[in-house]
Amino acid sequence: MNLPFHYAIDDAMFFSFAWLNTENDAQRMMDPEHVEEIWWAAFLQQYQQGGYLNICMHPFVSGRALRIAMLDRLIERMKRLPGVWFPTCEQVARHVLSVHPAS
Amino acid sequence: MPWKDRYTISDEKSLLDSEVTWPDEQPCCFRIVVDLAPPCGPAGITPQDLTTPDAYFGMHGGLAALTDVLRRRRLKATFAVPAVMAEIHADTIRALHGEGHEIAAHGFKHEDVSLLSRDEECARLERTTEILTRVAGQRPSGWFSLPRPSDKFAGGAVSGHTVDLLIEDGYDYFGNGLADDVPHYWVTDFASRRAILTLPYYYHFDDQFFLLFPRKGTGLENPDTLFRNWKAELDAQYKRGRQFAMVLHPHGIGWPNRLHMLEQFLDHAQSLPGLWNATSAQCARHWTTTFPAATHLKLEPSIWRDYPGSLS
Repeated sequence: MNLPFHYAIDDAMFFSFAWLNTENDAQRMMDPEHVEEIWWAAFLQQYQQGGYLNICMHPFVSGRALRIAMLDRLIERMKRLPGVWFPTCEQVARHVLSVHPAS
Repeated sequence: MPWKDRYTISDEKSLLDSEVTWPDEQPCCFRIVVDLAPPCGPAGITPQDLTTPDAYFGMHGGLAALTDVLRRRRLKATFAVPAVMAEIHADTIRALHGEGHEIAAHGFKHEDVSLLSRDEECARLERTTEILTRVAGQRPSGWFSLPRPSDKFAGGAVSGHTVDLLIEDGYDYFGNGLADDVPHYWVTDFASRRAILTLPYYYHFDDQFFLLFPRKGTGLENPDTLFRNWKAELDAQYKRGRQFAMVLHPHGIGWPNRLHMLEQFLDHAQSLPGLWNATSAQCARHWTTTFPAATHLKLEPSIWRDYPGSLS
């Protein structure tokens, strides 16, 4: 079983210099407010269709004070909507395996 | 781990927000670092690098406009000065020092020292210290190795010998470390606890990465992103009681429209009660007095350990 992942919901794509060995000309480092709106839109879409969002974070990227503050805001916004489940990947996997077993 | 190359030092235990203190119970330390190196390659500043219009503006109109802003706002900055720039612009450097700004070393000619032998690096380091001491009339307390716009790595390059040589030459601090967001110790020998105080740097608060980076081209001007990065970091660190440091390049930030953006940010910063505007040397002195390595360097084996089959 695979859990979905998308590079646009990965902090390093927006914040880390020369990520995936990209050229200097390709760098467009972004601020937390801008990324918060991208992630919020992605979350809202999944929320409306009953889906799943997996945000990938690296402590040396998202651990910076300006981004911890953004993450805090983002989680607060998510918690204001009813019925959002915040499981670990393992909890999601166990749920899917029991409800939709491969066999 | 490849993305941690040159980022990691062996002490990765940071102080908690509640443990960080600043003089007179001021809530947050606020540093401005001004880089006086014109854009150059890894070999360092060449005569051609000094004759571009941008380089000329950086040491004349741009620098004058930036120092006017600092003077009007009574803000003190640390100027990171390559030795060759101090030789050429000795009067300018003396005037900056006379105004109460700090003059720190920024290499002999902002070259990539990882390309040099230990002896050559040592000779250039001693010559840099001698030149800056003579020009400014005071020995530099700190040493910077800030990134060049063409570098593949945005943290600034050091060699395996740099930090050892700085300790030998009696420097108080190294100016750009990425391993923490408050001052910390860069350890060169785990067993003997040989270390130098390191002040934090992060490229998201360095103007050169947002103002026509890496050079002229389409869509490479992002001053609004830079402004929001500065503000988000300062607001978060002020609330938590830690530290904020920004790096400015006069050839970039000195243009009127960008300077206006800087002034809007400084308006906000100076509206925060009790913000401590310190030079890097003042910040370093406070830290080595309050959190000396002898009592506050908590060494733990690096979090990156190699196991059979691990990817590091």
